[in-house]
Amino acid sequence: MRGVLRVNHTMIAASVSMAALQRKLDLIAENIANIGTVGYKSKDAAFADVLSAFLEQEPDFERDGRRTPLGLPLGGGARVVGILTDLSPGSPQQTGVPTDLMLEGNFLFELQTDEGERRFTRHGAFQWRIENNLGDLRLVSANGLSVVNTDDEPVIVPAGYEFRVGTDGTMTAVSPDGTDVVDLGTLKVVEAVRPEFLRPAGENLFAIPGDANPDDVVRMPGAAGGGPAVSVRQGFLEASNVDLTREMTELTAVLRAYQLNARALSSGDQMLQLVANLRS
Amino acid sequence: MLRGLYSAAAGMITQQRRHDAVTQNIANLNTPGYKAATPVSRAFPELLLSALGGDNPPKRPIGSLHTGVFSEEHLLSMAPGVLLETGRVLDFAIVSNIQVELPGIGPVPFDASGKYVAPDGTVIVQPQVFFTVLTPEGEQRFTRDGRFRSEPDGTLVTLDGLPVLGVDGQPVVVDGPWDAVRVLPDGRLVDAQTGEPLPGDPQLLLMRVENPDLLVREGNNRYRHEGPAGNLTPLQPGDQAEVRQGFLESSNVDPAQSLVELMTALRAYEANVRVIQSYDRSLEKAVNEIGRVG
Repeated sequence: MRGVLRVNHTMIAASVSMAALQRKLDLIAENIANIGTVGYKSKDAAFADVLSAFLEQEPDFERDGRRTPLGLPLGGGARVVGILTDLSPGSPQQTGVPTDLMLEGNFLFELQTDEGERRFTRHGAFQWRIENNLGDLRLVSANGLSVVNTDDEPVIVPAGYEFRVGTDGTMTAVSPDGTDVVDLGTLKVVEAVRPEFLRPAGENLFAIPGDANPDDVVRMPGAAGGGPAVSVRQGFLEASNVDLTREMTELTAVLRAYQLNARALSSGDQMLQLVANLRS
Repeated sequence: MLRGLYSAAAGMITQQRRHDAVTQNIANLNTPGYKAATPVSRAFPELLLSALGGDNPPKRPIGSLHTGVFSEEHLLSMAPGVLLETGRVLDFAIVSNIQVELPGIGPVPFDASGKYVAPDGTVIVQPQVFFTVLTPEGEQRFTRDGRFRSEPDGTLVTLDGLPVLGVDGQPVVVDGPWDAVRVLPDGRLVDAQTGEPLPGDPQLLLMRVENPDLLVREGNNRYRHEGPAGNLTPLQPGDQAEVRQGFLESSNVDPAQSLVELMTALRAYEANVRVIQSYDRSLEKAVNEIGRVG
């Protein structure tokens, strides 16, 4: 057992995993806090075990009845290896607001920043912004980014016109008397091919990471033949996909695991105390 | 000097190691695919004591003595963990119960932890099945943790980024969304809607490890194989094992049992401390009282 510090692996393992459990607890709290957030996707922490040392054993340790190869791995607890986002759709919530749009399936709305960069969101609670002094309105996201059509043009509705979206994403503006119909193009929606690669850009927005090929992450629906068709619902919002029952169960499990680790820690402490009082 | 003093000290170190191992198990209560470690201790090699200096016979054996104990190895408990349904496309669990026929025994009746002790005392370990991943050094590692993700180019990787291997020995790569991929129980990837094999007929490499005791824990839910190459064979059709998509195998640590083991280790440690203190009092008497004059 040369070369290894006689550290207390119990205390290291327990404290490391308590820190990891704390992170999971934070995520559960975040999920529960966002149960009412439109388009929120629940998150989960993924754990993996950690080794803090590997004790080399001399060939003399190879004795009759030994079943494993030489060496003794010493544990260092568990750590969080990744945060997994559950991208399953949330349930529809009717609002009746014409600018509230909801996508069914694995699709995202495409938005454009003022610099012309692409952003994506599931958060379909859009708003109007006054475009000019005629009172024309531009459809923007909650954080002010323009919604675009498939020609990458902003959606501008003439003053007083009613905004309508078909389930296939075609947008029209209808005059109050119903006689004039303005074609606004088709809502630009992309299919998330590898949604886990979308980089969160804050405020329910996603962006394509700089080092990735955009076509690897998102693609136009129906590209490469087939794929599910887009379905847009006007007047609906996507509720968060947080499952409160699951979160509460996880909360209980995490708390108990934390408690068990704390017990192990105090038990390790008791051992140290015994040593400290060896000669009393 | 007093030999038992050192035996007790060795006992303390061993109990500390046991305590460490149990704590590691408790720490990984929530780690998918984690296999609990069972610490095994062994007595120090026997010494044969002889009495010297007598008249007749001048030297005679007294008997044998073990001068301590050490923590020898951590066996992997291969009991299957509970399957949790997650519904995530890139979560996989392996369910295996591989049967082995041996001459003289027939089908081996393995116990829950995957071993069988023959009447003559030999231990037979049940073969286990693992996912195979590739390290950056090009070596194979094995894992039961089936939480994978996809790289932007469609390569299937573990959460910390090691490619998952297919039966052709190459990383599994899928062109297009993983949502449209279904993984069959034998690990083959098919189109979720048509059931047709994907281009190139990719299949996850499920490694059958004949003797899982030869796997060395490496952290990050992975194991390294140290043994003859014949111990590893890709899973064959007909082997009692399958992959389930949308499920995870939870850790097989039993919290109640772990806590009991924790208490046992602590108390055994304490007992060894008492032995040392008792020896210390004997020594104190010898030093301070026996030799006192007046």
